[in-house]
Amino acid sequence: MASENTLIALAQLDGLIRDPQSRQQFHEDPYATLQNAGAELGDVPSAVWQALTAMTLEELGAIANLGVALVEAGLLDGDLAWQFVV
Amino acid sequence: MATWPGSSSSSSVLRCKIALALPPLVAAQRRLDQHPEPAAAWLAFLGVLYGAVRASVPLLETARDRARNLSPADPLAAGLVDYLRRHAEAERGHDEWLLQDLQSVGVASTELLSRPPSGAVAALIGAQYYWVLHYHPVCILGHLMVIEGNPPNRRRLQDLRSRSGLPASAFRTMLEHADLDIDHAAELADLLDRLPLSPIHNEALGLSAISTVAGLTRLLKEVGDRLAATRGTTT
Repeated sequence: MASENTLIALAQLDGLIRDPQSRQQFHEDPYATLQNAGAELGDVPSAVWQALTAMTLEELGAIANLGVALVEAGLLDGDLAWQFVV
Repeated sequence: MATWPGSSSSSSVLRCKIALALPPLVAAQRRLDQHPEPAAAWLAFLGVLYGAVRASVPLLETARDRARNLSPADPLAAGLVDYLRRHAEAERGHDEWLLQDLQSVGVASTELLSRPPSGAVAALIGAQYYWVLHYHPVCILGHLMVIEGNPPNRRRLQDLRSRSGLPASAFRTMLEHADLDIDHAAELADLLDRLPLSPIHNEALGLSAISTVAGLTRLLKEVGDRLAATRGTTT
């Protein structure tokens, strides 16, 4: 289970990428933007940080458009029966 | 929290991006999973699923043909042709399986085939046609990584079957994929890590994958909304 600090940091990140201006800033300088938002890098799961910083601005925008994606990122098991197949 | 060993590989990075996008899809799945009438929910889900599955092989063949056409001047496209050909063959007939599963519980295929597929299905599949035909066929791998990379869970399917009271035949196709897709995901990851992908290609894969998650979420949400509306009118 994620700690409260992790949930807070993810919520802050979610807010950062949801707003177009801070999304741009995050894309250009993720660490400084995170710090300026008052979050600690140590509270962000490394896989989340790695994925976000590997994304282009377009991809960040696509994630932001999904809704409540980041807040719970990786915290749900995703392991349900209702899956699509090809 | 999941970790991704060897996370600098293309497949690992793509999986991380997909994991970030998954929670809304999981929430939409959970809503169906907890529906008070599991049998009705499952059959509604299979009906929508059929709309997507019937398009799988034609989409794969379109991507294969496009890759083949680009191949002489495009090493990335050349690296896709064999995989897409084999994958189309591996998936062939699964739409028929699904129709048979539905028929086994009294859903007439004529009714299913005559019903216009929803805009959500068209958007999900149509986005892939656009990327394949107007950008690059490698995009389809982002779509496939979402679908093959999250195979149905056998234990949960069996639990759902027990709760729904439906016969095993209504779960055949999904149970088959619970096993098949594990191998398919590994094969796809291996391909992604061997292909000469540029940063722009990796971006295209990410966009395709995130779009697929968004499309599947919309589809499942529509199923949930429809079930809720039906239930509202019958209670």
